[in-house]
Parts: sequence; structure tokens; C-alpha cells
Amino acid sequence: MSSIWSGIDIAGTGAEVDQTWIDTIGGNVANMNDGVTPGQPVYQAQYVDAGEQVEPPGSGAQGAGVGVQVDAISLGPATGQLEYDPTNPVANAQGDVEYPVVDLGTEMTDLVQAQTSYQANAEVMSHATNAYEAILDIKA
Amino acid sequence: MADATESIGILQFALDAVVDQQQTIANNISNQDTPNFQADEVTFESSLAQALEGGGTATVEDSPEGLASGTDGNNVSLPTEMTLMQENDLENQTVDNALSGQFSILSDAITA
Repeated sequence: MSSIWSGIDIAGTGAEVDQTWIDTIGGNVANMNDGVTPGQPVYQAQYVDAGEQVEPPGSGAQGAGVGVQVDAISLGPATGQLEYDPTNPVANAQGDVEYPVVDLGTEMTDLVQAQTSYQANAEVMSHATNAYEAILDIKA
Repeated sequence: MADATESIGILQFALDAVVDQQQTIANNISNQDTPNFQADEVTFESSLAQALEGGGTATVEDSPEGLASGTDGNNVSLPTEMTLMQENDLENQTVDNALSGQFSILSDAITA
């Protein structure tokens, strides 16, 4: 998938992974208070597994890095944490409600990291564009 | 003293190397959060200087950057990459300007 504008493409793969990362963080935070009756399926936090993308065998520059990709989305624990809240309509006979395992602190630090990474990739795109423009400008 | 076509050949090598370098930096930055990713670096400057002084062929070297890794096994340093990117930008501009210069010399010679 390498093109003559590889610098821009590579930064694009980075921004795409960062976007997926930010989306999963959004989902985790939005669902962190989804209480259910204990024993019912509870929301499982989503985490992005990123992996390097390399040129496949047989291509010109085999093994050269061409960016990053989402290898998989891992899920958090399927069993939530119990909280005693007898007035909650979904509480069980013991008065417990099951909440998803989402750590807001972790989600927020991840969000900052994802945002910084997104900015860095955007910066690379504009640098690469300038560089290609300078090359296109070579003339007698 | 190199003539114009020789200089263009040298500058062409440098431009290829600079573009290679830029792609490697882009790859390092896009993988700054990839677990166990190790940053690479492309160098050609000393090899080119050596070839220009003592003859021989200059090569583009692709090697691990070798910085210390964090807890996730990743060793990309964003400040390092940003600095390298700025340097790479300037190198690119320098080579492009030099190429334009060589081409105008050729063009002047042709139209003289």
C-alpha cells in the first residue's frame, strides 16, 4: 500500500488508530454507570490493541514499517463490581447492583495520550506535505 | 571538483535518503503507542561525506535507534522524532534548492 506520498499515508494510519482509541474511550466512559442486576450481562470496557504495519513479503521494501493498525479490540472483565444500592430498581434481593469495570482515571490519561498522538500524526502530515511540495518545486 | 551532472547524481542520492528518513520518522511517530515497537533511524550523512572525500559508494543505513524502552516495551521518544523531523525538513529544502541551482546552471549553459 506504499505510494509516493508514503509519509502522509503512514501518518494517516496513526491518526486512524488514534481515532479508534478515542472512540473506545468515549464508549467506556459513556457506559461506566450502566448498572445491571447482578448476574445479567454487564458492559465490558473496550481496549485497542495496536500493532505495527510492515510491507508484506514479496513487495519492494519487505519488512519496512508502513504505519500502525488496530490488531484487535480487547474486552475488559465480563464480571462487574457490586455496589450496595437497595433503592436502585435493578438491585437484586441483597440490594446489590453490578457496574462495569471502568477506571475513569485510566480512561482520562489514555484520552490525553491518544489526543497527543493524534496531534503528532497531524503534524507529520503537514510536514510531509511541505516536503513533497518542496520536491515538486525543483526546477531549472 | 564535481561537474553539474555528477552533482545532480549526488543530490539525487541525498534526496532519496531524505525521503527514506522522513518515512521512517513518520512510522516511528505513528507507532508511538504500539506495545513493543522499537524505533528505527535512517542515516546517510557520514557515509556520503566519506564517499565524497575518499571515493567509494555512499549507502543509506537503516538501524534501530536503540533508546531505552518504557514499561510497554516501546522506545519511541516524541521529542526526538519531532527534532529529527525538523532537521529532515531543512535537509530536504537544502537538497531541493541545490538541485534547482544545478539545473539552472545547466539551463544557463544550454541557452548561453
